[in-house]
Amino acid sequence: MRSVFRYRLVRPAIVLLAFVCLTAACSSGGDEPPSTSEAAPTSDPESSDFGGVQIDLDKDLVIGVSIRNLEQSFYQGIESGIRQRAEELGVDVVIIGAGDDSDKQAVTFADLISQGVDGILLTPVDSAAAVDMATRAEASGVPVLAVANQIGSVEEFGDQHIYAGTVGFVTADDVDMGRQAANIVADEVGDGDVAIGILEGSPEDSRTTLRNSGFEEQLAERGVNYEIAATVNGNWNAADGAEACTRLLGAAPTIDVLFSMSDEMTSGCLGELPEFQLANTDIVSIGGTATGLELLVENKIVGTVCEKPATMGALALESLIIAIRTGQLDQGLLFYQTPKATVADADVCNPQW
Amino acid sequence: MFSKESQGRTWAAVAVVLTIVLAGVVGLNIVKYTSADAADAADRTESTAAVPELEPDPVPTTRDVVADDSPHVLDIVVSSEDITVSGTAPSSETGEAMRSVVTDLYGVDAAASFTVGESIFPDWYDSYPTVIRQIGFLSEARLEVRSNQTILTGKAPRQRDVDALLKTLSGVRGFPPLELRVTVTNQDTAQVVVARSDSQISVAGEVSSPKAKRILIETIQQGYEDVQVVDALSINTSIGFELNLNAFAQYVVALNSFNKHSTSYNRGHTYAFVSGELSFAPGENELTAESTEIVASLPEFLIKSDLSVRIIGRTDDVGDDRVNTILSIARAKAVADQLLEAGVNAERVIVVGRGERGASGPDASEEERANERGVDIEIGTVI
Repeated sequence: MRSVFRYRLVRPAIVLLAFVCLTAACSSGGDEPPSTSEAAPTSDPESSDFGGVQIDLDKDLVIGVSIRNLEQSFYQGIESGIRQRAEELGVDVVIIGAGDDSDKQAVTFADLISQGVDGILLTPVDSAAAVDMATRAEASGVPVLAVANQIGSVEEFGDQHIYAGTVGFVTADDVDMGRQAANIVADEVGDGDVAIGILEGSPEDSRTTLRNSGFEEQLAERGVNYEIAATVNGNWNAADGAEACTRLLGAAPTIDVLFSMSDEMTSGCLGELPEFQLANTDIVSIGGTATGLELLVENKIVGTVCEKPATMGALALESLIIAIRTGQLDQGLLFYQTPKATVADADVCNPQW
Repeated sequence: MFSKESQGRTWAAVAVVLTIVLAGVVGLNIVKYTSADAADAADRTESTAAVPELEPDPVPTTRDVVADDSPHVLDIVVSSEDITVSGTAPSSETGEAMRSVVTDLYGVDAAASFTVGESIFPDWYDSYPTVIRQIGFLSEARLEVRSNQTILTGKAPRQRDVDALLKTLSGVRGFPPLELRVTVTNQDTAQVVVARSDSQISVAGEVSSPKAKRILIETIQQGYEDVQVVDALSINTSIGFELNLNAFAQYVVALNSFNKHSTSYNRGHTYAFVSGELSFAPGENELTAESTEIVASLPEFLIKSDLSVRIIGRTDDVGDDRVNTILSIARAKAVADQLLEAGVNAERVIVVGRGERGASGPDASEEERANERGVDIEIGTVI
């Protein structure tokens, strides 16, 4: 991949880089034997040495951002996080929405490369189609970092995949979000018997699988004696969530807990059903949206897990810039924290979408 | 809050008026902010640049423009070598805690005292530690906060140092209107690299004065009693003074549980890379008792410093790449969970799985592979 930064190979930097790599097996893969004679680095006013990492803080950067759909609040949250962090870091960004159109995204992505941007953040419309974009960017020497949605289909590569040649993948940890939802349930019900209904996202979506696995793993770890009474597909949206919720309660009318995988589905469910039908049911949701927090404050749900698209966008931009400025173009899989918010501590979640 | 729409309009009006006034009074070398809308730095820069060139008048003293003579909520004075903080605290306990924030960060260079009085801004005390840290990047500075007016004067090495402080102040609900008269000097600042191996700790780079050098070396020596300190610091009087260098020395000391780390101070950034001590058996993701004890030394430092932290899990290259990525995440999470349980702010903790990326390859020795199965910790940021 193209070197997009200036190295100033000065002696202290070499010594320190060797020190760090020897002690850490750092990402550049140093394999020299350990030395006990690390010379004290000498001062060099021209050096941009930073603890063994060479950086160039002065180079002006322009980062391209290709976002799946700027009409959706989740992606708007990502955009706002990127813009705010860009301003703090003094970096220019060119942000283009793809309108959920994969072909359009391919064209505008190519435009960003043509404009000579220093790196690109990509939230793919279609993970499979994004492979061609990443390949083209790599050939042009433009580092790419995936945000929220991975590059490369889940069917072919599995979930939480970092496509070869890209800088990394910044996303929320869906397994952990499932675990946090389970923690809310465990805190509510203790170790008693509990019948749970699950309102899940579309079953072919890997997020559904990951959230389910984290949820059940953590329930077991917390010693909750649970039974999954029914699982229905609410397809992540309010309308389908409402319809699915009706089906769920038809199949299992006496559930103690409803675990909904998105605040939007939760909202649809609560809007559709008469209040008495869920009066004895603890509702746990995922999202941390303004809607979810409102439901929480109104005591209509017992908790939600706090997704933070703006935090994710900011982390993605920061990570891509670190990669470019340091030349460490393999940042890996990056997760931000998604804490649970309950009635008692709703303020841990400042809604970002 | 400043970000509320209604107050935003008020701020905008204040911004226009004060920009005009300050353009005439202060001259072009003074950066003018009046709005708390820190998210619009680009616009501010443009409006500053558009001010017609005027013959600079002497910069008025703060007293010339202070109309509010109510007691100080806070008064911070940063001189060329020390910091003095005074103000009002809602109780003697809070006042003592506020005093400790100052002395913990700046040590012998700090003096702080607070009188007990009415709490005017309920949110103020949450932001106070950040303000104390951020103002250390400025020199010859004064921040005066009264019930109806805030004034910040001084010099800043970089625009972003001003922006960061303004952003913190703007986050305080009900904070009074701000007059800002800060000169951005664009001056180089201290660069220091501290590298610790088992037997020694070397301190290299440039600081602005013999006093800064002495404090840095002495603080580190006191924190590493049994380790040889190698002084390779030089003095460059043309670079700017930064009080935060003292805070940096405290950070270095806070990492003394780790036998290997590299810690840097560069243009106001503190960055520490801790590596090589949190290791795992093949396929395992549980911390050993020894590693748990080492990690336990971090939360107090992280909570106090308010620095972000990246926990980076790694594996050797034995086995499937995808499985290794997930394993590396699990290793990083083991450390992150310990920090979070100890009260480190979740907003500042990032979990990273590098998997086998960076591993030595098929010819690696068993010792090299053992080193690759670990967790590294990055504190602060290089950018």
